[in-house]
Amino acid sequence: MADQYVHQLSPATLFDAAAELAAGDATSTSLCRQLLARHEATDNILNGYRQLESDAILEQAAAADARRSDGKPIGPYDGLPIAIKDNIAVNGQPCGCASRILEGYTAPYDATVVTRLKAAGMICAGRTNMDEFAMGSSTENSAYGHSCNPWNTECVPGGSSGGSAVAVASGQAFAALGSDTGGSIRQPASFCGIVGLKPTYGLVPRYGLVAYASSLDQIGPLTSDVRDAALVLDIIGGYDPMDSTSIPDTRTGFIDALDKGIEGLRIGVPKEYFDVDGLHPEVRQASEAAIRAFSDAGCEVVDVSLPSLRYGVAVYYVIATAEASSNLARYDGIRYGARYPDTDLMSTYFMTREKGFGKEVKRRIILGTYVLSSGYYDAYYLRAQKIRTLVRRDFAEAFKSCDVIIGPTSPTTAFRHGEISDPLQMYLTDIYTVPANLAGNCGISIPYGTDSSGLPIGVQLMGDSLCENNILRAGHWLMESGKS
Amino acid sequence: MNQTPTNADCSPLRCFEINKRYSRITDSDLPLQLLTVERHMASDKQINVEDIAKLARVELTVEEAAEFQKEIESILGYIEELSAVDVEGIEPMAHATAITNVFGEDVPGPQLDREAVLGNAPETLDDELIRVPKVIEDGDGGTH
Repeated sequence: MADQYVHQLSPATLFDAAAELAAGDATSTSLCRQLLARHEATDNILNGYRQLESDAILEQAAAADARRSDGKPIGPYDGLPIAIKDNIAVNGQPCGCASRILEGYTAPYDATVVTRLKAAGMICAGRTNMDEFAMGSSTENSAYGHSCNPWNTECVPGGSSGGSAVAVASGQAFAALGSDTGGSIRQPASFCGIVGLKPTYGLVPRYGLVAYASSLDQIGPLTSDVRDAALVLDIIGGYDPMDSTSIPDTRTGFIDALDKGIEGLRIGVPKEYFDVDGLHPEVRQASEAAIRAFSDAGCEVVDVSLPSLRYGVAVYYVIATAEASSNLARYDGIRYGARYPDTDLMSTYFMTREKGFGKEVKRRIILGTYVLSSGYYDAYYLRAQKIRTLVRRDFAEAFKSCDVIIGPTSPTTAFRHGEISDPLQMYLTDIYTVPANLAGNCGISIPYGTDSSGLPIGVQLMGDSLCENNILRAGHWLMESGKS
Repeated sequence: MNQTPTNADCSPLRCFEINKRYSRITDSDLPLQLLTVERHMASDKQINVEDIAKLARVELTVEEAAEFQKEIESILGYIEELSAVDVEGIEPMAHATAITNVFGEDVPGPQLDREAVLGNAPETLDDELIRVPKVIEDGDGGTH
């Protein structure tokens, strides 16, 4: 076993670290040094980070400490570090999406989420590894080598935000940002035994997030507990005029809702989630145990139905690849990133994209180009968009009788590197997570026990659009109840 | 020696293939409509990965093309189950929020730093232009 890599920093959370900073029990420098020491000791094996610049981090930490000792901290989180997925722009840092085609690219601006973190005094420390352009469920598609699961280094950490999950689970970060297009925050959180939140589509600005499938992409936090997830969401959430899909008039203040407990929350159990072939018995048992816990605590548990679940993966892979084929047309070797020159413009396009993109990215671009092509558009893309409406309707119907929908995050615990080589089999592992992206709802993965080989199991709680409060309250309670 | 196309061969696609031999046009100049509809309708395969890759401006090795052909056929086979769903009268959903037509105020604001943006270009000219491969032929086959 290699679980010596599983580790929490001490203090273990942003929330506790802020309390220690306020009490004078820790400095930003001491907290950052601790994280850097962990990085030094583990990341040559785990490969969670693509880049972590210790000098820059310690410089910013010293500045935050100086502000605090002058009695002028920017806020309670001034000087706390947070890791950033390699597809979110931080001004002056590389933003490579773990792809060769963006080799040498430096972000010329901050993503809105980064602007907000910096405004809170937080240090955007380090860029985490990922599946190239967020396409994958295992972080095996990175052009810079795969990441390893801290619970068992022979296993994948999940993906595509695998590096972010690794950094948090191994004590190399208090918290990290990831992005979730079909489960890319929740599934790695589940595999690595941490919390991963996909907010409602439109709650967190996408300005500065490299586009994969624009109608599904959403930035969110990976953290070691639910309070930190709420804390980060409070900072990064809310309307942004730079993102035309950002929802106006959204409120934050999620951290204040946690202590309301679970009284009055109705828990919905979708029977289709438990009828899936390939659902591992121990994963099923963990979800069932969580349902019993809510029931024993006095929550009303109701049966709901999401009949469109069986079409979710197919709909997702039509829509996501279609959008990707269009979004990734911008990587042509002309304005930024790598250029593999050839004799003329057309050959330069072909050569640059051949050498710049990895296999999975090419596969999805081709599939997406096909489903959008003349003669096939109606049969695939338009039809998938219509079935997406049905997915949304299913959720709307289910949320009439419940506040939180519960089920597994992933059908299995972490699988081994190379274990799933067939792309379709890999896609099918997203079955439980894609529906929330298609409907635009929110979802959170909560660590809830381990399987017989000691690998963490995740339970997913899904909420209606802009009902993060419900899943955060339920998740916070579930995690705390599991500890006792 | 080139064959004279018979009537049976004289489809737009066939003519294109013949043209290609005598001119500088390449497959990437093939009109999209022609390629997707005609070539696929004529083929018993559901998808011809090499053709689609050309449309997407992605070069594939022979091995990759064969591998993708098999994998994507299998994925399309799975996606085929969508054809069983009754979507009569269902509106398509393009994205998850009800927001449409968001207009910005037409006022000047801060722009990206010119130097930083140009610094990302593979090739620049005089630090103020992005240098690109030749787009229009000048007859001598030169590249710049």
